[in-house]
Amino acid sequence: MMLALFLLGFVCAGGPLLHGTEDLLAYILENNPPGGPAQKSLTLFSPRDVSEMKIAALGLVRFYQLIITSQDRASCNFTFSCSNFSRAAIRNYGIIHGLLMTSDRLQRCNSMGRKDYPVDAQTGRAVDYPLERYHLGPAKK
Amino acid sequence: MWPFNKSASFLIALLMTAGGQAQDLALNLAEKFMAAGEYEEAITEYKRYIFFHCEDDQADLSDVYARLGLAFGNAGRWNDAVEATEKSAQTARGEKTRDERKLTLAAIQISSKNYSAAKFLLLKLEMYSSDEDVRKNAYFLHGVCCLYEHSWTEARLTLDEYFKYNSGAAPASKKQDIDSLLEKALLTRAKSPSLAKWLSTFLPGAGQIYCGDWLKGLNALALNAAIGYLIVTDLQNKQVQDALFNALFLFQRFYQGNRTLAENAARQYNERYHRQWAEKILNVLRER
Amino acid sequence: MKPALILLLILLAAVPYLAAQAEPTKYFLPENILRFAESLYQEGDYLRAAGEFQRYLYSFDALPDKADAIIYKIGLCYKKGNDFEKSAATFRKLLDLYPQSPLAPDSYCEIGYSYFLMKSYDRSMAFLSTPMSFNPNQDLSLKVLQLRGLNYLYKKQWNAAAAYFHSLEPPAKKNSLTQTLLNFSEEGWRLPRKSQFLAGFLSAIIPGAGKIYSRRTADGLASLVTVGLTAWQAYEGFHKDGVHSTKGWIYGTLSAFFYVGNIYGSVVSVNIYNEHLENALLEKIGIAIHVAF
Repeated sequence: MMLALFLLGFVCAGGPLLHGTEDLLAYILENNPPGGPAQKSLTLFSPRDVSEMKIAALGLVRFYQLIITSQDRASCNFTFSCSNFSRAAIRNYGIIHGLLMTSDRLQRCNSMGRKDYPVDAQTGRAVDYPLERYHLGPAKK
Repeated sequence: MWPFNKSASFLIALLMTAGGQAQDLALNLAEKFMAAGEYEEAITEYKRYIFFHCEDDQADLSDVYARLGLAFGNAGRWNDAVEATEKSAQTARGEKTRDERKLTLAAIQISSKNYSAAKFLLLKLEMYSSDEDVRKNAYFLHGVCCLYEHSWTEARLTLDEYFKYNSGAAPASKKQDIDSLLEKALLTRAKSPSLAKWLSTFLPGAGQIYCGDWLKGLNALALNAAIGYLIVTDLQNKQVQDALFNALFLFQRFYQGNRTLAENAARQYNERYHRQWAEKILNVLRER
Repeated sequence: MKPALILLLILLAAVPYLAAQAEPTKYFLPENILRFAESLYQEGDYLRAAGEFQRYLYSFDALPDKADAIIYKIGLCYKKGNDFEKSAATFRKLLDLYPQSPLAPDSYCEIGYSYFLMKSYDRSMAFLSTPMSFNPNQDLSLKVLQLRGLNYLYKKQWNAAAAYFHSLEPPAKKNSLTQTLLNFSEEGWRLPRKSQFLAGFLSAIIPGAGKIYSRRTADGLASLVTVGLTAWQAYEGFHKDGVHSTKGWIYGTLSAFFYVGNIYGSVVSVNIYNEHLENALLEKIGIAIHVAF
């Protein structure tokens, strides 16, 4: 009993090092869960989308993404797809500017124009400039 | 024949445990920060200890570098974690300690998904380490690494080697459970991407349904059928131009897309299925 | 026998305790904190070094001697660690606490430069216009004047920058860096910019022409083909079935959508073209000032 207490003192003086297979596996599972990272839940609308017209337009684009373009190859020339660009443009700048920016973006999405943009090394697609550069008007606050 | 009375015995025991727990202030602080999840503060204290003891022969720098590596790992700074753990292996006194540090390094590499580097290190430990415990743990981690990579055959071989070691090995039932799970993972047929693609070539959406994605399969069928109907109607009305336009811009895209998506659906199904098996087997390994 | 045994056991118990207590390292003595902070700074772990330098200051009841040098070092740590807001705040603190310190002039400059690095050019200019509580030497005055001009340049106010540099007194104006910045401001003013109105007008006449004008030939051709094809299909539809043609209305709407988008996109493409010209010039300026600042 006394010997056990004596040894306990030295064991307790140790710290969070990994000893044995249980510690090693626990450390690995904590930092690299085998199921992968938690999936982000899909939210159609955020509290910012208060205008009914905006919600309708965003809903239409989302319908297009889920039903139509989900059946297409990943053929967009840009890393940030045209439908996502459209949703971001409508959400940030309203229906009219959003539709104009979408129309311009659809016309820019061609393989011949890829050289005018920086290219993403991993996917080989063009990296479009930030959304605000395509907006004509006062800067969004 | 214990020569002391109860009070004296208690006092001696207390002194002994107090002696065992007395520790450096910086390290003490670092451990408290680690326990509280304040990893950056813990890193500062470990670095402080290392700075003041870098020329102290009595100090166990290897131990502190190893803790620093774990702190970096918990903070998500994997490159720094690897560097610190490598230093802990370099400064280790004794072959066994050095090999144990290498096991920690392998664990950090697996945590940061650097499986090939981890396997390379573990293979060297399996072949060259003179300590049985280290070799046993190396086989164990090698098996874990193979599970993450979904290499079931290799995982089985290495875990078999691990279970051969008797000292501290898991009970036989655990080995049986893992063996049967690995057997199932190996035998259960995954979906064939090329078969999915060919199914969708002959019937749009069939490949997606083969992979269990009924919604996408029916969607593909409906869309391609609608475009096909448009083309046929145009041809029947002798509107060849419109039929050509629809065929080139619509049908070709969505038909090709349907084939590509069927292939991707099979690959994603396999990836999900492999991940589920890996999770099951790792959970069994984790059980005491 | 028994007393000897008791003594031996007590000694054995005390050994680990005594070993741990022998010469404990005094980590938190002020000089040791400072040494550790310096080593972190040399290692490049700037934000951690800033924390340790601050711990050094807090280890005294009142600010120690040469605290201004330590506060200056903290400011440098934040600047090198890219936390410009904190670096500006730290240098400000130095100015407030030690207005007559030999480091005050450099701190004044560093505050303006921190705001500049944060791209808060208005804040930088506003600060650099505030009066100095010390007598600046010639080097500092020159640096402050150049930094003010740099803020104009980075705000792309080329005319204002040129007028500013022209208005400087001879010693500052004749400095080689000032001359370089003056040349850059004139170059910025003379950049071969394209006209937004012309691009929009060209695209209204011929879809895609405005984009070709702003050197986006591929996009211009794509616009021409898109608008042209949809307009042609709309014409076909209306020609065949009149006003009630579904095909005509669908393609007509699409054509109008792309036509208006083409004009909008042409104006945007000119803005992007002009921005590229200015950014290329700003990169050259960045290289020129890299050594001086």
